[in-house]
Amino acid sequence: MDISVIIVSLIVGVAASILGVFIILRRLALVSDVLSHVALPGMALSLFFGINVFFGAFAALIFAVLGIYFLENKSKISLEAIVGIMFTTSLALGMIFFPDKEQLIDGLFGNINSITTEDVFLTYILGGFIILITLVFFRNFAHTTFSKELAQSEGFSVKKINLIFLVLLAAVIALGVKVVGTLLIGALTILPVSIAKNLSGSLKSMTVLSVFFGVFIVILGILASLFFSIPLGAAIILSGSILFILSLFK
Amino acid sequence: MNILEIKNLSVKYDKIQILKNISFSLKEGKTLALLGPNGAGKSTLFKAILGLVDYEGEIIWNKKPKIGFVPQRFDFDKGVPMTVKEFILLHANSNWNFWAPSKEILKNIKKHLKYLNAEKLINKKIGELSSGQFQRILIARALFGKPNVLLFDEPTADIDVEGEMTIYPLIRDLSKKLSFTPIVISHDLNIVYEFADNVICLNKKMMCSGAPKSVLTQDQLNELYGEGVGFYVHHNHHK
Repeated sequence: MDISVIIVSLIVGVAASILGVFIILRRLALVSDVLSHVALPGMALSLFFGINVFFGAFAALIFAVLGIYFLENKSKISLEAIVGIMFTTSLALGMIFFPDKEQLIDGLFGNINSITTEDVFLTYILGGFIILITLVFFRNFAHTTFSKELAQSEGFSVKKINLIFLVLLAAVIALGVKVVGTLLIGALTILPVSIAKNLSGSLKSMTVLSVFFGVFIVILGILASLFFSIPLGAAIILSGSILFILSLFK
Repeated sequence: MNILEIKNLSVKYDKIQILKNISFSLKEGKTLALLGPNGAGKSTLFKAILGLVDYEGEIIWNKKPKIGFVPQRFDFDKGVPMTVKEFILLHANSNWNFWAPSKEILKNIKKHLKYLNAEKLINKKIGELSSGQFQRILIARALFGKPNVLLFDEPTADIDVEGEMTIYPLIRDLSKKLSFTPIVISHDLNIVYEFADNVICLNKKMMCSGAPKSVLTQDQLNELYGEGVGFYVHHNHHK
């Protein structure tokens, strides 16, 4: 296995697990999971125009989160319904636009072996961006997650903070599509933090443990993938699932 | 000196009048109590002072306001594993202080918890606190921001009378020690009588204002709450 594959997987693991803290605490686990499919039509269009699928995925996701943000604030449709409609529409568009079946499978499950130097470079930039911005806005995210009402009364701009969060969510999903694919990136944002939540007594320890497990399950996944010759994305997620079950018996 | 003057303040929500022509001034260092039945607009008045609702009229500060706010009740997620220390640190002025608080900030947090006899709760999860403990933490947290005015919206339902009696002398003592001016929403006439320097009765409009002993007459209370409301004696008053 190429060293760049390992580094890319680790960056994705860290970025997903640190942002995942707020995905779980804001009860958006299924939203992020479902949202990940929105990347598909964007990836298909990138393939069609011969550009890196990262850009297509990111563009489609940004379009989706902005749509969610405005519809949630302006209309009375519930978040669930909005995300549900976006998800099925994207899946349908993805099926039509993907040039061939094999690439669709790569899109759904990821194919890290097809990773290019450009992908590695993009992972550094985008991954670094997600980790940095999450840390910078950590207090804001924590406050608005804990109590919107209290945060508002203390002058925090809840809407603005939500928008930043949604953009980061789009970024982390776009980041992960190469490694674990659209079907499984959602799980990578949920698993490490869920394990951490079972084992920690404070927000800070939960965050630190989440990142630790994000790295740990990526390493376990890489080893399992090599040892059992199974796809890396699936190996990472399954390592996480097993650790999650173990964490229930702490 | 008046730290705050409010002139002809009116608030409407969707054309419904919540407050009409409220005028009063807040004397520095003197505890002001807001009294009134449910739905009288007391919490809305706090929101106007905090700048959270649109209003007509004037709110004039004669000193740069630093407002500490202890909300009555608010929704929060008990599933967030936030400790008391972290909850107070949300008030810290930078993200870095949240992640890696300096020794000075930690000492300051402990000091404020100690004021409220709550120093042992520092590493407890917020979701595991009793309502009385949580209220103390909210006060400590509001004071951590070094306010010159403290808005205290009293929760009634979940605090027992004894707990209620201990929090007011504490607020009064702390207001002297840390020099802030408390505005207290209370539902308990005895507490207002005993701890407030001035009182304002609200029921969408101003019903009375002045020192509790001169304005809290039976006639006034009848007008504010309807017949049959008066003083009763707490048996555990001076425990």
